[in-house]
Parts: sequence; structure tokens; C-alpha cells
Amino acid sequence: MDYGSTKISDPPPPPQAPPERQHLRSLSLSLSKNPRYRAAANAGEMAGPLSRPRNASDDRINELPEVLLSDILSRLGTAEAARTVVLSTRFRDAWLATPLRLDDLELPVPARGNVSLIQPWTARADVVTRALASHPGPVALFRLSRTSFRGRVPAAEAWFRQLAAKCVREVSLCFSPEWCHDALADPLLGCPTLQVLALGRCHLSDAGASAAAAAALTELTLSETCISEAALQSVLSGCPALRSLVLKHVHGLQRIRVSSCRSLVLLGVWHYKQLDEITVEDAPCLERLLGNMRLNAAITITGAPKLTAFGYAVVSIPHLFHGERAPQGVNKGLRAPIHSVKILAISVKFSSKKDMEKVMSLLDSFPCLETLHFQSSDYRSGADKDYTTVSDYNQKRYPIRCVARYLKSVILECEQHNPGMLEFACFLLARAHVLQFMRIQSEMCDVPKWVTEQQNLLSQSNMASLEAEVVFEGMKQRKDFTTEGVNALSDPFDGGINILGH
Amino acid sequence: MATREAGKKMIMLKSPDGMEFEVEEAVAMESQTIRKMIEDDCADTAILIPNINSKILSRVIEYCNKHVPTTGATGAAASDTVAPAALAEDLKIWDAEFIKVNRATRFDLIQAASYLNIKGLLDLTSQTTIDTISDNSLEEIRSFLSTKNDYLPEEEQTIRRENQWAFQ
Repeated sequence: MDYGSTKISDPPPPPQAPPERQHLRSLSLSLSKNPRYRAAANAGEMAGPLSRPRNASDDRINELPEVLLSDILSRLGTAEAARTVVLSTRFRDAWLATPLRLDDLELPVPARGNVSLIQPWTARADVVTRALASHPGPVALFRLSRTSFRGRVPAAEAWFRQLAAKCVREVSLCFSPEWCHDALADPLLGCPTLQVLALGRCHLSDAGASAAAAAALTELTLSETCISEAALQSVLSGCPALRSLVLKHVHGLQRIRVSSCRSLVLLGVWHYKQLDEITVEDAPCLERLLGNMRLNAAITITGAPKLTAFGYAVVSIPHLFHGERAPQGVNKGLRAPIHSVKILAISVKFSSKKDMEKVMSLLDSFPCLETLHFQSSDYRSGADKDYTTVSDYNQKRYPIRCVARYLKSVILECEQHNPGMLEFACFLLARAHVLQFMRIQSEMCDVPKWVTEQQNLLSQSNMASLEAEVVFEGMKQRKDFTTEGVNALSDPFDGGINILGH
Repeated sequence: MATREAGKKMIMLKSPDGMEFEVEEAVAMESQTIRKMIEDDCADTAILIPNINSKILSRVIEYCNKHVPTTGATGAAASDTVAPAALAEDLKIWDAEFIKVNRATRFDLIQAASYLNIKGLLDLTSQTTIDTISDNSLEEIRSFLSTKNDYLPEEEQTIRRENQWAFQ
């Protein structure tokens, strides 16, 4: 490469510009006219005797407008960008003027030898503390994936205060939720610049929640976060721009009530503790309600005319966690039919007669369904005694409106051989008059003999729709749930994203 | 962006050193800045591109010609028959050749890409600098970028101390 020999003179400034020329020129000036850059250049000149004379053709990077230098710095790793400050005063000024992106995967790992007196995990947190203190803000990103708060909770709480003061835009705590060690995260709720917030097992107090004023917040994820029902209400009313709300195993909630979230598009609810109620009211933009929603909670949805995707509805309650009380009585389930939902996902034990009856009544609550996803929660095929058979389904002659009139595609998933699932497939095939597509996913699909057997079984059943195509497919590796990943899919359950096991 | 049927509309671009380049409107509209001018009807005859000399402007046009979606003026025959994946691979190789320029030209291209708002070209031209900074020691970066250390000794010590966390 040729360094330095090319003589490049500055392009001549157009002196008397015709109209269109001026139009362009004003644009170009706004790019290069940058007071900070000028100040930096002057500072360099004033350093006079100590600094070597500048040579334009030699020092081209110094002629880049600061926005472009900033752009380059913002594409570098956290530490890489911070190291450039020692190159020259111009780099220092550019780094200070570029919003900080602090990602702990891009920070140097503290060498063990240097931290013999303190624990390695606290050493990591200390690097974060110093990195955050070295930059005046704003902070574009604060993402931690491997820095535990263990032994450094007060420091972590101080980060939250500083981040709010430094106009942070995104705070994502991506590590296991318990690494947050109940740090108080209140200050972030009052940060008007915050757009994305993902917390682990932090604490949000009632007082902090009632002061919530995150006007720009569009994505909120709480994983194992401790928050009271009243505080959740306050947070929601303090975050009017919220488009996505994910509540994952949140502590302190017996009821989840989401009302008057007028921008909300995606609501995620995962819970392994007993939940009494999931209520959504007045959510005019809500399109998706995702998670694992057990039907022993009362689910009420009103004022959500755009809700099109719902699931997983967990029909068969999995084994109970230690200390969890058994669900009382019958399922409360859905209170009223939801006409807008076109895509429904259900998790059920196909081998349980009782649970399959619940599925039938559940389908009645979704009269306009077009797509149905089933994931089997059977332990091992055919273990249960009250095993449903085709004759059971047929005897009952369930009049399911959505299946007969609207159902276009069905996806059935089970890792193992599952006769109950196949019988249910036959049942649907016999009744779905406009069905176009059915996919059966199983690890057994790698065994050609098994596939042939299943196909033979299916071909013996009546097909209500002449156009229905039945496909057998192996199981796919599932990707972790992310809001982005799910938003990119037209059907959130059909893109290999692990929603049920999130 | 779709080319408009047969008789392709041409646009005249002028550099400040007096050179004129006639290009297809679709090619010129790879630049969001020019696109906006065309859409705002500010460009009935010729568009003057200030601050970008003819040498750089001709390289920018070369880039846009190659990157314009659908069959451009150059390599039209090839892109008709080649699969999209192969085409993308071909573009990558072409880009790698294109960016083999000296440092001064590269910085001029960065500025031109930024001014004309051509994202692909800005990404391509900035990447070399980013790679240089990522992969080298500070002394090497200084020499690659010909950046002079203009710190007073005490100043340098202070900033090194403040950002020590990044060097561990």
C-alpha cells in the first residue's frame, strides 16, 4: 500500500454557488463544521513546541469530520475504543464525545495474578465501575453477560444511578437472573432516555415504581425481578411508549394485570409459580400474548382487538415445584372467547383423556383460529391409563366451529412416538374442511419405517379437506427466545424459537 | 429500487473540478442524498457534488454501478444468470478489490460515502480502519494511521490512568 506519497489537496470550496449548489453545500457544512473538532485541532496547535508539526497528507484521519471518527469508534469493542484515547488528543476528544457502549464481553478479563487479594467476580465488577466512571456519557449501551453483582451490590446500585444520570439508552443484564443479588434498580425507571431495559433478580420498590418516568422505554424484560402488583401497575403507567413487556418468573405477583398499555404490541408471561390471574384490558395495539400460560389461572382479555397470536396455553400442568400448592379445583382458564386470535399454541399430554377434553373446550374459546400448534408434554408414549382413542373423540362429536370452518394449518410436535398425538391428528383431519397443511414433527421422523406406518394410519382416516397436505419432519434445534427474534416471524411459534421452555 | 422500464433516465453529476458524469438515475439514487434531491425535484438538469473531486466521484459511481440492485449498466449479462448467493459472493470479492486503495483515497471515500449517504460504501471504507485499530498495538495503529501523539507528557499520563481499565 502507498502511504503518504499521494498529495491530496483539499477540494476547493465552491465560492459563488448556484442555488442547487448551495443546497448541497449546506449539507456538507453541517457534517464538517464541528466545534469540538476545531477545539481539538487548536489544542493540538497550542501544544506547540512539544508536538511535532502537522502534515496534512500524513495525518488524514485527523481530517475526518468528528461524526465519522465517532462512527468508527462506535463500531469498535468497548475496550478497543477506549484504548484509542492515547493515540492523540483528537482521538481522546472523539471518544469522549461518542456515546459509550459498555459490553462486558468486550472488556479485558482481569488477570488472576493481579487480583489475588479479591475474588475474580468482584474484579470484573470493578472493571465495569472504572469503565463507567471514565466516560461522561451519554451511554448508548450497558450490557452485562458475565459480571455478577456478588459482593458488589452497592457498586451495582451506583451504576444504575450513574446510568440514569448519563442518559442511558439500553440496559441489558443478560446473565442468570440470580446474579443481580436483589440490587435495587429504581433509578433506571426514572430515566427519560432509556429505550430498552432487561433486569434479572433486581428489586423494584413501590416508591421507585411510582416515580417511574421512562417516557422512551419501548422494551421491558423482568426476569425473576421482585416487584409488587401495585408497583407493576405504576411502572406500566410510567412507561407509556412500551411496545414489548416480558414478565418471566417475576417474584411477588399473584395476579398480572396489564391495563391501558396503549402502545403494547407484545406481552410475554412465563411463570412456574401458581398464578391466580392474567388480565389484559385496553391494549389496542396488542398482537401477541406469549409464554407458558397455565389454565389454572383466570385469563381475561378485553379491549385487545388486534390480538392474533396466543400461546402456549399449558393445559396439562407439569410436575409441581417444591412448596407449590396444587392447583385448586377445575381450570379457571379463559373467561370469554377471543375472536381476534388466528394462531394458537397449546401444550398438552395427548395421552390424558381429561386434558384432551380441556383442549376441546379451549378450542371453543378461539372461534376464528386458522393455525394451531401443539407441543406434547407426554413423558413417555402411552404411559397414562386413561388413554384417549379416536372412538372417544368421535363419540363426543365435538362441534368445534374453528376447526370446521377456518383451520388452515396444524403443527404437531412430540419428540417420541406418540399414538395419542396421531389419533388427534386423525380427528382434526376428519373435521377440518379447509385444512391445507399439517406437519408432524418428531425425532422418530428419522426412521423411515415409522414414518410409513404413521402415514398408513393417517390414510385410513377420512380427510375432510381434499387439499390437505401432511408432512413429516424431524425436530429442529430451538433458538433462545428474544423479542427481536420473535418479532421477525409472522407466526411466532413457527420459527424454531423456544417459547415454551424460555 | 426498480429501474424504470426501457428508456432509462439519466442524471448528470458534476464534480467541483469541472468533470461531468452521466449516470443512470437508479445508480445515482444509491446515494440517499441524491435520491432525496431527485425526489424533491431539486435536480432537473445537473447535480453539482461539492467537495468530492472527480477522481473520488468516479470511484463512488463505479461502486454504485456495481451495487445497484437489478441489472445495472455494467455486468448486466452476468447478473441475469447467476444465483443470488453467488452474486453476493462475487460482490464481496469485488468490494475487496475496490477497497485496495491508499490511505488518503480511503479517507476521501469515507467522507464521500458519508456526505452522499451510501451506507454500504461507508461500511466498506470504515471497516479497514476498524480492523486496523482492532488488530494492532497502539504503536502500529499510530503508524498505520499516521497519527501524531500530540499529548503533553502529563496529559498522556492522566488519560492513560483514567482509561487503565481498557488496557489490563
